[in-house]
Amino acid sequence: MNPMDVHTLVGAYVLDAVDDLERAAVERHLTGCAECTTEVTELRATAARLGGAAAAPPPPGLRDRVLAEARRTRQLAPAARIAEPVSSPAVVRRWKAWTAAAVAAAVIAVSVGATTYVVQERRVSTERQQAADIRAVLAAPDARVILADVTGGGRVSVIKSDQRGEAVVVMTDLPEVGRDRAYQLWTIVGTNATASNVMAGGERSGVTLLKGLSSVDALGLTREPAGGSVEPTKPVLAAVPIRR
Amino acid sequence: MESDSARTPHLRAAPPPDGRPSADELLVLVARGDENAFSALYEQVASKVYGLCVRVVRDPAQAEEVAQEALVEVWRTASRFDPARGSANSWVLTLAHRRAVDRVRSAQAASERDRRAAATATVAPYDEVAEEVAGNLERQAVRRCLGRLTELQNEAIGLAYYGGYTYRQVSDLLGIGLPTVKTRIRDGLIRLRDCLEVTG
Repeated sequence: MNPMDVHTLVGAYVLDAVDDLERAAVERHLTGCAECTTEVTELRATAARLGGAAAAPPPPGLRDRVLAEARRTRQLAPAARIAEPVSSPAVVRRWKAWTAAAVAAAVIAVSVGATTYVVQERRVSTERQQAADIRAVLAAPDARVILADVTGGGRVSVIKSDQRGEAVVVMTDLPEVGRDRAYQLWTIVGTNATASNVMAGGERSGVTLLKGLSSVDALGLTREPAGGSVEPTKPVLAAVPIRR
Repeated sequence: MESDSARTPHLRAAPPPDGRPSADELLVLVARGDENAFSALYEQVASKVYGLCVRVVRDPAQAEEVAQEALVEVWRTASRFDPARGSANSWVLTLAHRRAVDRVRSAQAASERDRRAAATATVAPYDEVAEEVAGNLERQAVRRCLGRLTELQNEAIGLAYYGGYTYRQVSDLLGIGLPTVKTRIRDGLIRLRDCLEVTG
């Protein structure tokens, strides 16, 4: 099957309307085509909406049977690297990959939930572009995770790609603030802090994409009046070194 | 704050508003063997999984079996969930749909006529109980967007997704050529994708 044929099968593929040979052909094609992978991801989500619209109350006994069967079912290990010698670099690599997945889950969760607001604001195309940019950082081969605790509670997780000079910043469970105060990020070069993105007043969790970070040494987080400031208000609640 | 929105182009509010963990967060925990997380995930996805299985398989007893297999499969293979490739919800329903389709394709006894009659790409009519489960708005949105497809797109997608037919079988059933079926399914899904994003 030539690539053109394979590509037109993408729709049938996400609906499971292909045979096994065709499925294998599409999956082979996907491994070398980032654009197709994005299309498949989006169309799968679309198909899932069709599935969700068919929802019906499950029979009462199902829950107990499922949980009982799960309890006696062994889980698959994460995508096997059993052949790899268990040297310390391997352990570190695996830990990093796992953390990236967990952080990515948080990113996706935040993005998905935010869709409603965004849709209301009719900024769909911008949003989709941004979701694609975020995915690109998460999928970058050199993406690494930097975690920092925030003074007073909560955490900042940064997924940075040095090649792209971009980072996804996830802020979770920051200390409570009134709606007149907002959390703001700063890009720090040497000892100079430059104002970056501001969260909405009162918000305590969020995700954002920062670009143009090639010469930035660290990211800072402060609490500012709602709408943000030009100069950071001390104290700095978290400082995250992002330069390798 | 409304006035802040222009200054905060890259920040979004974080769900869920009721403080429950999202399906994505839960599935990451499930991969680590967390039974409580699996139980919470069940609450979020079971009605969708079961409803989809009923729609495809038709026979309630068989649908229940398939739903059970699919949900246990979610537990078993949770470590293979890759959040960069879509949401947990999408991953779970993809898995359940595959299972349901496998069942109808292997069940030679299934009546072709029943399947075809059941497979039109419409959303089931108003049903009070089901409506509560699915969420009125979501169902309405899907129904409205399906209504914006051409008749051929609608029929082809319905037969493939809800009917569990291959696109070759869809081509036979509708009496249209294979290339047309392939493109109508893909175009239709793309239109559906755009419509659902716009109307939420």
